[in-house]
Amino acid sequence: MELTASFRKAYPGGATVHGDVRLELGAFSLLVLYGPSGCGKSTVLRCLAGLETPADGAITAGTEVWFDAARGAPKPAWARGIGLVFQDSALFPHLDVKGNLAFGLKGWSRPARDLRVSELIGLMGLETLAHRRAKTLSGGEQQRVALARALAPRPRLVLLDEPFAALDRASAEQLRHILRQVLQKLAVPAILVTHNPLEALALGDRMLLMADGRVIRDGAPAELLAALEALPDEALGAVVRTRVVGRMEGLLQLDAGGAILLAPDPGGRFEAAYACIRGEGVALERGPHGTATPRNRLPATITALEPLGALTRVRLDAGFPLQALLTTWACQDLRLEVGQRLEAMVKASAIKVVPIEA
Amino acid sequence: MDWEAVLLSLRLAGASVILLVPIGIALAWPLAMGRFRGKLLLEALTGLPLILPPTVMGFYLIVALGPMSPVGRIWEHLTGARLVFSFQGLLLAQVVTNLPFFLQPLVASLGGVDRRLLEVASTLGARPLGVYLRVALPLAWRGLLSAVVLSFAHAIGEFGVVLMVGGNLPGRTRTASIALFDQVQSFDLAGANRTALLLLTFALAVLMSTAWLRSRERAWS
Repeated sequence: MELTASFRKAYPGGATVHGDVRLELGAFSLLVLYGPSGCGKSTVLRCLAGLETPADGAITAGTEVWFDAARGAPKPAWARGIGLVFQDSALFPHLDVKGNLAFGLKGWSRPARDLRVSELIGLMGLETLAHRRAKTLSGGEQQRVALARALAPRPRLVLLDEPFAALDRASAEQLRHILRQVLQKLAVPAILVTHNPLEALALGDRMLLMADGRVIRDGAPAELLAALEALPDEALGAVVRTRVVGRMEGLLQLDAGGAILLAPDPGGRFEAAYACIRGEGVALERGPHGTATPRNRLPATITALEPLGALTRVRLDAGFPLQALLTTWACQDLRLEVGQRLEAMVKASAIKVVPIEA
Repeated sequence: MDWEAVLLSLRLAGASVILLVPIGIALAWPLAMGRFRGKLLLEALTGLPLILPPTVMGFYLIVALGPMSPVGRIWEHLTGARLVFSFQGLLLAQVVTNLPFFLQPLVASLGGVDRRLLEVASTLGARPLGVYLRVALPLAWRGLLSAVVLSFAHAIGEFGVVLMVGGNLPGRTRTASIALFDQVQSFDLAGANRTALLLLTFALAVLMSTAWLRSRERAWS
């Protein structure tokens, strides 16, 4: 069964958002809706949830019509079978954690409801919080409860609207880790709205890039983000998918398409990661080895030279796309040309490792 | 002190609040959350008793409940008694008159409930009535309590409409505020003083308790 949405939502102020989303339901996969603030990501999510009604177009889930401008009244949110998690958990303050989890299970028999609630409490590690009120929970705990609440009625799809945005770094990382595992275990597909490229890289299987109210690209997160140069400062330059082949003294050994990179270990258990390499941390050298340490030394070929005023961006093929950011006079000194073969030296400190959640 | 009148006031106010709770809860939802044609008219109609002179209100209520009106005729057919100048007639008049005092705090409180909680509830399968009864109303409970207290207090002190619709029948329609009017008319100033002081003390206590409830609501939200 496939979710197919193609619609237009117009606001009185003149802003218009076009939603074009396709997603297979029934199996786990995580689709990232990525774009800057105000580009219409949340509007797309709200239209899918049934909280906003598009002006025209259609939204269908398999043979079920959720919205069709030609047919009149849309299927209400309560009948769509989706879960929703907001940026700040929006837990019901008058209910405890168990009450929040059981909210969507009205109509279930009492034993079935109790079983489902304790199942989710176990899955999300909420055992000690079961009788606590929302206000007494930390931000990370609240989001775990909100996710469990959304999953309780066995939704066909979970919509996540910037669920990590209000969390501190440690809580966000913890939740990111749980999120993919749980969704995978329950075989629930999800759409994640974010403007954080690290989240898109760490969690997404596929990404829709949005700008000015429409989806402009559809592809793998790493490719789209690299092409967009919308990577965070740590990642500006290159993103390469790697496999962890060793760990030592706080450093990771990463296999990047045959080349071995050493990079700081962010901690945690993971087998694969994106290495985000800042262009400023990549030096180029002609000819044989110089005085620099042989670690992180990669043979590379120049594919393009892009002058940026005082700086020049040197695009390289090192078995994966790599960029170096050099001063223009250094490029002239090195007499760099497209097609030239040389050695790229990557500072370990210029590599940001983003674990790919299993 | 005319204790019979005081007791009648309490009975009348208590009964009108019992009727106002379901009516007010039913009307507050569309007023607080609804988007529909005629909402402005509904707001104006339910708020009318706030600004209409009690005599005008009373006059229309006599017309609406009198023996020539459909309501009055049906009542007379069913019970054999007249609705005007009876406790039951007075009760209906009190419900209509006190409706805005019930609705205003409740609607304001419902309007303050975080919309996202209602949206999440609907994605969790709750239909609109379920969203109202299971999320919005429990979160607006202080508004509901204010509504009960304010409408009860106003029903105790209502004068104009009670006099118009109920007349001044001891034991049946003569409430404390009408007894006070009688005491002043008959120069029983000591008696009037006692009745007035009782009503004043009661009103002060009510206003202080609703102010306290509102301050708690702000602290809570």
